[in-house]
Amino acid sequence: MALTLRIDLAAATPAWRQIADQIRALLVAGGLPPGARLATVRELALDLGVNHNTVAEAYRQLAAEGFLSLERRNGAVVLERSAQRAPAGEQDRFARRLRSLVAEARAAGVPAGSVQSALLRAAKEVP
Amino acid sequence: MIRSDIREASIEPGPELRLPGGVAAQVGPFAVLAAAALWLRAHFDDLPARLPVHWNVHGQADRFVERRPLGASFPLLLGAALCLLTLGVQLAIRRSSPRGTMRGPTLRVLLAVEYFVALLNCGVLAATATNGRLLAPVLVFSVAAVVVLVVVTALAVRGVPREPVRNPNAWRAGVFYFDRHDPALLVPKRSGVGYTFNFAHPAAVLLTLLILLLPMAIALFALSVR
Repeated sequence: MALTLRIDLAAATPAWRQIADQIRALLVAGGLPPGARLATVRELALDLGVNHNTVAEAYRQLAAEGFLSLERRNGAVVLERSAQRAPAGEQDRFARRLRSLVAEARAAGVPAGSVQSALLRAAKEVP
Repeated sequence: MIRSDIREASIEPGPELRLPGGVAAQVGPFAVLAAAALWLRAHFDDLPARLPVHWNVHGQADRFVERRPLGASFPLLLGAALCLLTLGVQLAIRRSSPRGTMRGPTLRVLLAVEYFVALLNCGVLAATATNGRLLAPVLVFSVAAVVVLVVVTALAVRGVPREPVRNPNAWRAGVFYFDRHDPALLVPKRSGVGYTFNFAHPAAVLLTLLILLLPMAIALFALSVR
């Protein structure tokens, strides 16, 4: 599995959220086992050419969600995280976010068939 | 048209980038200069009363300085300053440049440049101290060393895959990188080998001034000791 982040600084979604979303997707798909170290904030910020705070914010978000442990000495370390039961209203929130994402893609000219197959592929890739 | 500014990076931690050759290799150029300084101190009284500092195209000395500690040791001081500057650039690449294929080869070339600078300045001292007798060998060494440097550079980058152009929108006049949001002090050149400053970085402005002012300071100093 490619452990490469690909963000678009011109996109409407903030860079920190793109970083957090992609790392989260990797973590949920098992691309990074518990105990694995991630690139340091400095390394990732230098490589992406973004402010250190942008990467730090993404790491803090993932730490708050229980995916990462942020240690001064070891940097960001992947935590063992048991599958959680979706809290009340989570499915509705997800459906709303998905609808707006689909609308965004359709408005940008992505064909409906491509959106559909991308959604199915994502659902299969992320266990 | 939808504008995009795509960036990619590995999420995996990179291996720690060490300076080539470790401490022993990094100390080498300064040790060479220090040894020359010790020799100069031991033989200072044996030097000519007027030290040649410039030669015409026929190899005859046409400018001299009086034998004084500062004037006599000037080539060594200059060598030390240039070696420190080169070492500083190595440290800056290690600490404040994106991970990429060019970092290791560039550090090795810079170390070779440090040795070249140290040896060349010792050669200048030797030419001066011997009243120009060693000028020809020093010139031959200089030309040979430049050839060696070119070969070292070619070997260092041979087979190294080129890095993609970083942030194509940030290049001014095609050669000056300027991105206020980029924390990197040094970025791979758009073309060719090596690194260039991110001129939006405050330290880049200071270092550029230093690099520009150093030759002026040297010229003023050279005039003052004539």
